Amino acid sequence: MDKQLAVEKEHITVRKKVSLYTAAVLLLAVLAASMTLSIMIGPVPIHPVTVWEIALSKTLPLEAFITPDWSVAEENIVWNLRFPRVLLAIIAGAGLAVIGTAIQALVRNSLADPYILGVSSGASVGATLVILFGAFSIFGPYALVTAAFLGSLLSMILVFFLAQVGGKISTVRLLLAGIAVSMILSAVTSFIVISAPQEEGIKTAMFWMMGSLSGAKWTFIPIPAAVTLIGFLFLWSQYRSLNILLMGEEAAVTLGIRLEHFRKLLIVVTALLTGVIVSVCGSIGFVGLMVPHIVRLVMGSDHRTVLPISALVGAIFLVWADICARTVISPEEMPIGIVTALCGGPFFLWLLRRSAYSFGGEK
Amino acid sequence: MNISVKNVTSCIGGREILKDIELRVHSGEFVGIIGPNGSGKSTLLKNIYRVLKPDAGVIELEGKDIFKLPSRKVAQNVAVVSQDTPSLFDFDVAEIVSMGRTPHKKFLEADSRKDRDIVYECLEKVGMAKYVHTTFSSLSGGEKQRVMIARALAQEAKVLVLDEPTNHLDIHHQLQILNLARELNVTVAAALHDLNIAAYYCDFIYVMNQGEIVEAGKPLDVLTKGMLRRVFQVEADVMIHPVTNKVHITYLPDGLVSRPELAASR
Ligand SMILES: Nc1ncnc2c1ncn2[C@@H]1O[C@H](COP(=O)(O)OP(=O)(O)O)[C@@H](O)[C@H]1O
Ligand SMILES: [Mg+2]
Repeated sequence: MDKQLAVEKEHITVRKKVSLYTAAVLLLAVLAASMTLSIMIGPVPIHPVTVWEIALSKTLPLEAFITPDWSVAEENIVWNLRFPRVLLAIIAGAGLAVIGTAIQALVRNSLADPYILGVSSGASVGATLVILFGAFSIFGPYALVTAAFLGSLLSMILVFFLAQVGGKISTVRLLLAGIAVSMILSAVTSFIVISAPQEEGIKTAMFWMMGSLSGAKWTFIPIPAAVTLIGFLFLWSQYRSLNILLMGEEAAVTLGIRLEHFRKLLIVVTALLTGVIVSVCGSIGFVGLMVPHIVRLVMGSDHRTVLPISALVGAIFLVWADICARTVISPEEMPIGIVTALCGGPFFLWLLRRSAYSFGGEK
Repeated sequence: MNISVKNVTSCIGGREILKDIELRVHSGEFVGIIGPNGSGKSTLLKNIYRVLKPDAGVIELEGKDIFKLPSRKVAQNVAVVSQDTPSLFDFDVAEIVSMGRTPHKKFLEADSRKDRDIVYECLEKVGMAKYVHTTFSSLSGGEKQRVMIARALAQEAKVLVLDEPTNHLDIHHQLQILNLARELNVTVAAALHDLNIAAYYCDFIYVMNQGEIVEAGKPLDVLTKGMLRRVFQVEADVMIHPVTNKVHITYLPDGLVSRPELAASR
């Protein structure tokens, strides 16, 4: 009997850890493979070895070891077009999945997604103004990104203040204020679009609003990459508090979480992260809603595991969604948001029908 | 560790739920709070564990205002078993109990061997060790309650605040949990609904009615026929039980008392 207890005790130590590490290693391998595939595929197919040879020769001083057997055009395609694009997919996918996880804990609502705070509709207003009327032209090539980010920041601040009652954040108000502000700003965006002078601009604006990685450039990578990484590390460091937040307000207070402080911090961090991601690739739906649920279904709810695994799954999912977006109707391209919704929706419904997963509610 | 509740008034939605409450829990004492439904027991305890802030008065832990102490510090010293046991998302039992270790963990500090041992021991104490990896939401009400108690134990606090900690438990586990609380030699403040249990375990009892403390004293002095009639509206027979040497109450089912003065004031 004692022996059996000892074995079970050992289980507390071992079980989760193994599954986190194995899952992480496995998913990293899948991510690397998906990334390679994504760069290979396109109007000009590239050999996988060439993909990494180009990458290595671009990043490391390896002229002595790698003799270029590829054309300048190929190098250009791989390094200047496909690499930033797949990296943006990884950043956005990982970022949105992580934000979704944190926001679901924050509002204790399984339907919450990164856009619940009105961030994406705010960004859309800014972006459409730039695309259709050339506003913010003083920012040059960064006009779109800047305007979108400012829009998301403003709507987030608005929602944040609407959600406060007597200095405290009410999560129900947060949800409702987010929905209301989103609806208003979406209407504003639609108004801007229909009063736009040019056909081409409308198409671009629509494309951007549905989410798109087609504008990816190297210059757009560092800031979102850094912000996403820092945001992820911050949230991961708070995994205990996030777990406790899911247990409810009383548990949080009695276990020593500074509830109001922590909630505000979470809102600011997630909103900034969303703002940065949305401003480079529009609002890509479903990732932030769906990925955390899938991960919880398989790995349990502990945020120590859920956050990193969600980041990896989100990244892989978006890399594949982008592959579909580029290839299905090639040479045309469709907004990635269509792909994520079309793949994600049915999968989510299937998940919904499974009784083994409670979605954070009663079974 | 002692708790002092001084002149505490608490309002919810404009209604005064607690009126000028005075209460002391001395170090090492087991203090019970009894009273009919809606008398304000939970509200009082919520003020003590800082989910509600008193509108007037102060609550002190070792002479220091609990709202001026750092949250983590309070959580290291005061553990709570409250009435809401949310079954949100699928945590397993070990994960829930581990949360009790949080106040003792520094930033980025991982769970140590010691933490895991504590978690396991606490689960053993409440008889839930074989459920370590069961998902919390699949447990019965009483089992959930025992897990929440294990979480509070894992906090290793010197004060336990319990809000009807045994209301879902069968009699064996009721006694097990309260024996446990008594044997830990910690300070306990508990709202209890079973008056015989209160009589058996409490060193001191506060009786609440309509947001006020109407009586306070040792079980023998407080649990009287008169009090039961006035506060709980029941006729009962009260005696000293020959085996336990504690107060024992036998309710007389035909003796429900109506309170005309209440009916008039509503
Ligand atoms: N959130 C709330 N909103 C409004 N009234 C409340 C709330 N919580 C408690 N009350 C009221 O406060 C009174 C005391 O409740 P409570 O402290 O839960 O009593 P007890 O625990 O003694 O049964 C009741 O009349 C109840 O209706
Ligand atoms: Mg109560």
